[in-house]
Amino acid sequence: MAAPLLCVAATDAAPAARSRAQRLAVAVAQQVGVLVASLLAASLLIFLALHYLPGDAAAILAGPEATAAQVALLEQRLGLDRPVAVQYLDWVFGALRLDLGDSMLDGRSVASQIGEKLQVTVPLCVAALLISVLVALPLGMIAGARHRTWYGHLIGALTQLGVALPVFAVGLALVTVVAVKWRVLPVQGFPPDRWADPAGAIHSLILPTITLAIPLTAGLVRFVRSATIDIVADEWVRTARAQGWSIPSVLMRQGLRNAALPLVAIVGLELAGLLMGSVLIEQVFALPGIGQMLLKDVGNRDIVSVQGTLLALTSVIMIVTIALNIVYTLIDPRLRGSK
Amino acid sequence: MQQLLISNVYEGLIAKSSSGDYLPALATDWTVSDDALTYTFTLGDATFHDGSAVEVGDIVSSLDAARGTDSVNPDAKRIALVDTVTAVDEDTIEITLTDRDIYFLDTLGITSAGMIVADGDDTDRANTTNGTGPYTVAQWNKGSTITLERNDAYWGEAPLNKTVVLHYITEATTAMNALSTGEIDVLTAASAETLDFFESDDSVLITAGESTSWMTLGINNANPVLANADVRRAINMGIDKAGLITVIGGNAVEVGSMAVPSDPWYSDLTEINAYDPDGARELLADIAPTDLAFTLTVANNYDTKISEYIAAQLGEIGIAVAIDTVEFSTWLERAYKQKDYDLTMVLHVDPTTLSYYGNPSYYWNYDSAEAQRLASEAKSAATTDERDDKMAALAKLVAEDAASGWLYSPQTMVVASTDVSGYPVDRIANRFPVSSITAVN
Amino acid sequence: MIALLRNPSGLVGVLLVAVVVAAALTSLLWTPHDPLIVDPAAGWLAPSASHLLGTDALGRDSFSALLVGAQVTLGSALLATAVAAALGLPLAAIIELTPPMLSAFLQRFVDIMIAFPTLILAVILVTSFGSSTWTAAVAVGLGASVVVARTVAPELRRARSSDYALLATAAGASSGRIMLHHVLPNAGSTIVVRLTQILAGSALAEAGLSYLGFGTPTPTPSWGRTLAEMQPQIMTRPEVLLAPALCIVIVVLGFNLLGDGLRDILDPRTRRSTP
Repeated sequence: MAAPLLCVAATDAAPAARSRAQRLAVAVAQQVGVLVASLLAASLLIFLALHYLPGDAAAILAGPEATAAQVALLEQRLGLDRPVAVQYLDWVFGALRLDLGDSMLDGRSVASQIGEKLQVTVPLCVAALLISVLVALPLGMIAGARHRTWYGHLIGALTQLGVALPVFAVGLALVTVVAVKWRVLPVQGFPPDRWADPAGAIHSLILPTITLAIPLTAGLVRFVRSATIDIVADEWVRTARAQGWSIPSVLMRQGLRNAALPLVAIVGLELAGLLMGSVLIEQVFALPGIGQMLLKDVGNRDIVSVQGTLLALTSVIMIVTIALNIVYTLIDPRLRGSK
Repeated sequence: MQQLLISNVYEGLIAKSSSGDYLPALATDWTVSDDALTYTFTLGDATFHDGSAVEVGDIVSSLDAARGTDSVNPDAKRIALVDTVTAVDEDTIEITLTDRDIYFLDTLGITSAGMIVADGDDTDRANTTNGTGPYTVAQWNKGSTITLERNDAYWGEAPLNKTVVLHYITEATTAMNALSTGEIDVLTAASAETLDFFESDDSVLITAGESTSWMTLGINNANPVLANADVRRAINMGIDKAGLITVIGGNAVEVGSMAVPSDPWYSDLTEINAYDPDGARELLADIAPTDLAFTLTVANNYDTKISEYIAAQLGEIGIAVAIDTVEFSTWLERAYKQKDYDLTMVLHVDPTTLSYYGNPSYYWNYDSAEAQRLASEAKSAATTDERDDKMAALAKLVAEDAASGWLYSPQTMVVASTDVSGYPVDRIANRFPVSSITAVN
Repeated sequence: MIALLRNPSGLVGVLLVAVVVAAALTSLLWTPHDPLIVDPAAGWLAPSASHLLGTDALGRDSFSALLVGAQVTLGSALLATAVAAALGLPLAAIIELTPPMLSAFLQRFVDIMIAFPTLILAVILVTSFGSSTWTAAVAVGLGASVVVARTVAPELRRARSSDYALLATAAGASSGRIMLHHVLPNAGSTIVVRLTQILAGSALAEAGLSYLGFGTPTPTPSWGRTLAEMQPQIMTRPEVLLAPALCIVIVVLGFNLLGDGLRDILDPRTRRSTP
């Protein structure tokens, strides 16, 4: 597990003469080109998958008592009667201008809806990620460096449990005890004014964040632990120890640096997993986040909204991944020019 | 959503009290001609949220828009019998109908077809509202909360509260917890578990509201096997409805047709095709020597216990039932629109749904000349008594014919903190007026 | 196998998985009661000798439902993992074998698919093809296949740059042949470990999907759906939620520990660091 997990787009073997800046420019240009091509492919996939779902927004909007003519009229207004290719191109060109269209159900701008919902989901995911990194690094190193001690074993066992717990069950248990029995934190929801009420917003996010952070932390501890075990067993660490260095200081000086790269890679991979986890958590805590919005919009066949949200999400994750890749290409000499 | 906007944010010419009486709203007074084809309304001094006065032109344009051929109003069908809407003078409106419609005042008062907006108003209705009601929408977090704020310039009686926040919570458990911690004050349509939980709690008050809703077992009458009324009767006789009510935790009443005790045309029809598994088996033995198999297509927003119970019960009288749980959108498309189903399950909430048994193209595919006659006579009835007689006859006819199954009528259970009062409890499925809610302390 | 049983993680993992497999196999032949028999009069019975875990609202035996639920969980986890392996491994090989630009594109595409929420994929598949345990499992498998591709590709690269493979290249073997004969066997242990982890992840995902109502349809017992159905009881009868939650933990824990055990004995790099 200590090996870098990230696949890096290979750059053609760059002549050694090229400057760092040139290399960066080439890497960025290539990555961006590939990104655009991949996003287009993704957009087509998203569009087609959603297009062929049974049922449509017009029927939902018209309501159960509507006549066929009314539904047809609505389909026309929503542009659902146009040829598939036209609908797709219209959407893609709109997206290129950062215009994701308006919700088919209530006419509100999809982009602004995403903006509103991200105010819940992004803090939730980022906080959970931060907490888990901050907890997992020391805990994982202790568990790795002292993996034969009782607390090393205890941490190992706890992380196994942490990975195996279903998040919705953890969420339910936390709500029941902390919110209902002790009444210290809210049970559900988010302040209607969102961050205009910062205390309220933070209060609402504490339990969901903890719930989301538990499996994440457990996974990271496992990773850091096994990486640390590898490092401690390495020759040079043994040498350093023989020279009188203590394990913690060796780890801090060398281990952390060595583990940082793969850790960044893992975190990148977890980002996508976090979103799936956040759907469940938003459901349990009735949080008006992006995951809940996606579920509702799919249910209502608000295709414009769903495809816009999916495209925005994939783009964000891709851009983060690519930024990580570029950083990686620059930092890690082993990966540069090798394939 | 509609349930909240009607009478809180938007209003019609008239309104309806929770006990069913028609009340003046934008119109202070109205008369109905003897042939019940001409309605005359006198307009009051109402204003829109933007301060402009409600004028006859606004009424004409709103109603014309709702009934126009290019109308996408969800209740457009209900206003289809309107022939003309004319402004007689600056505060009198005359509406003529092509045929008598006993539900017409309901349509004006409590459906979106009757709501009034300003003529030529270009308000972006996705983001702001410009109705005439006692509240404006201060904030709307889609799928989460709606904040209604008092319209201080309201032309009518001022609401007793300043701000009402309505939470939309899908999980019954979450709602229950939110009430118990005081995050919300009133919980409508509480689940059986919620009631159990709060049963002995002094800080909340549980009220059973009058409701008009039916968990309906939709039967596709066009299915070659189900076209046989005896098979439909056997299905009705095979389901122990009292047992079903126990399973869902009580708080529902048995009904024998699509009528509840608070309906004026109600009579107890529970004895028709009552639970009798042996009788059902006998009926089936005569017509279907081989085993019957049907698919029960259910939208995933209903409690799975209900469909599981039905499948198990029908299994005992020799009808194999496979449950196909689908999303609501898929259900709407397949079962409701294309009528591609054998059995289905729907909670109907509108009292006039009974009259749809007179519509052979409704999703039941129930084609009965007698039912069609009764439904149309009820609609064009001259008096409410006459309508009630026809509706009662219709309810009895469809019950005997087992056009559908009526599993139960759920009671609306409202659980509220004792800190508040004045919240509506009766017939809240279609609208939820909030203006009289107050804090007790 | 013996090595696996000597490894503490491996031993516990094998035991836990064995319990679940035994439950699933038993339920194929016998359950204390028919888990689908409805008897409202026997609703919410307390645990007894006849009903080890009591009954639910419809009077169905909860213990029998749990046993049958093991079939669903194991079956869907296996199917999902099979799909993930069948798609993910070739994809990883293709990424490694194709020219750089195409490979970069494929990798980005894999990244995008990783970003695509499995849940939404499942909803789309379930809506299009009807809800069933297997549809949901295929969705989970599809979602996991790209993770497999992404994590296995670097292993293939490492194995490919091993002395073995380099020698074969020098001897003029085709890249496809090298992949099959040298690289895959070399990376095999990592792949096995990866797939065991995917088994655990799939079991958890099935539970999550069923919890949200997009997994195993009613009336087939499923642990995730049982949890969702019992959720309203959390304040009044919290004990009824415990059993299905525990079952999910057991199966996921079992597969994860099994994976750790396998990694410890198969991977020479970590063999010395067995806890």
